[in-house]
Amino acid sequence: MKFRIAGFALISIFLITSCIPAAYRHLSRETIPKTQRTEFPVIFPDTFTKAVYRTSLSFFGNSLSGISFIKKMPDSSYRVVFTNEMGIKFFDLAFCGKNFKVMYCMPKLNRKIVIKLLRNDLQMLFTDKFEGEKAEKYADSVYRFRYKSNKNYYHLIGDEHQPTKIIFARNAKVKVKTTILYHDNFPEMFIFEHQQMKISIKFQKMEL
Amino acid sequence: MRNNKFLITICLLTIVSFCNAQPVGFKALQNASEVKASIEKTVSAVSSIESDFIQNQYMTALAEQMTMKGHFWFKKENKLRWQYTQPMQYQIIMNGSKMWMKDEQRVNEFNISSNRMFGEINDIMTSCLQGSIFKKTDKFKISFYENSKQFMVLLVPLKKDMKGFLKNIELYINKKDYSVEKLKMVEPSGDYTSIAFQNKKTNHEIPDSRFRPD
Repeated sequence: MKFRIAGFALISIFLITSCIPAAYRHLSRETIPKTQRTEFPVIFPDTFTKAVYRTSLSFFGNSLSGISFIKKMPDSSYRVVFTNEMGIKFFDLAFCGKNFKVMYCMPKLNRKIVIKLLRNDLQMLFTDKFEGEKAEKYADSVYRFRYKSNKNYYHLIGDEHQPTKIIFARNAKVKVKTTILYHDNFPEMFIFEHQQMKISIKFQKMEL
Repeated sequence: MRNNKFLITICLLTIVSFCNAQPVGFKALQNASEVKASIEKTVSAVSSIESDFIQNQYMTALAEQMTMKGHFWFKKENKLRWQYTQPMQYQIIMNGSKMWMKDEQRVNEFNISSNRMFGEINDIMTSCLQGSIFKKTDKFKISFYENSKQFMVLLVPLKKDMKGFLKNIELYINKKDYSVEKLKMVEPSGDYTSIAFQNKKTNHEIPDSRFRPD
């Protein structure tokens, strides 16, 4: 009986800790009470209206480069229009909360995997609430958000309001590392690096 | 009665489609083959072009316009260089089957065949500048229009690949010297990019090194 209890406890500890990427396992953890619930931060400030970014996308050895226009629309949704340097459009994507719509995608690029990747990466920039989230504070600078199920986590490093790194992990494996650099509280650059696929997306703000 | 209604509908649809086909400010060219021959003859004598360009990109859904400026070089055969200087430093160089894209940090080299979209745009550009665009009847439905100052050549893609990202191309040609003054690429959504060429110089020596990244 004792062995059963000990075994159960060991398995439980293993299951709990295995959901946490190794880098954070040593950190002490405190669950943020619901009354002080920290919301998943919106990377763009409330005052944001529009910005233009030099954009490069590297996808399994193929690359696309161009310019992205990000604009907050009157209905508070965000539009991301990515074109090449000569103005030909690759994508036009709309994000509104957790809703997402492909307004246009160049037929050659219209693949489920590409759309899913862009949706997942970019949505974290514009969404302030994820369904079923649970916030936990690990240390002064590390926040963890549980998303959808126990298997998906966002780890925020920096500040719960303005993270400089967001690590998306599933089943304890780091899937995407996002680095964000700010200038005057405005996101100047963000880079998405997929850890298990040769995919990276970089946005660098342009001064017009 | 039912037949009359049907005829009226057909007439209205024909009028509407005719109105849509006629670009605003231009009328259909009567002596198209004569003008085409003159353009081809003049343009075929051009061995090089250097000019400034202003690129305006308009996005209807966002109600936004972006302007970029730069310098442009062309040399026969198939050598093109777009050097963007505002608001960013960027080079697109096409030389035969090779293509380079250079930003502030790095140079990417491609075979034009591996980047079909840029390959198509390159092909259109060089064909316009070398006067062979009118022979591309397998790729485009070509119509000619004019106003008092310009000829306008409307190129409507016929191939499915190109139709996916391009509704049509409008080429604006100066009536006096038959040079391309403006090129407008219209997307299926109505968004468009126009490139206007200014301060043109033709047939002067441009070194081949200009068509390689700096």
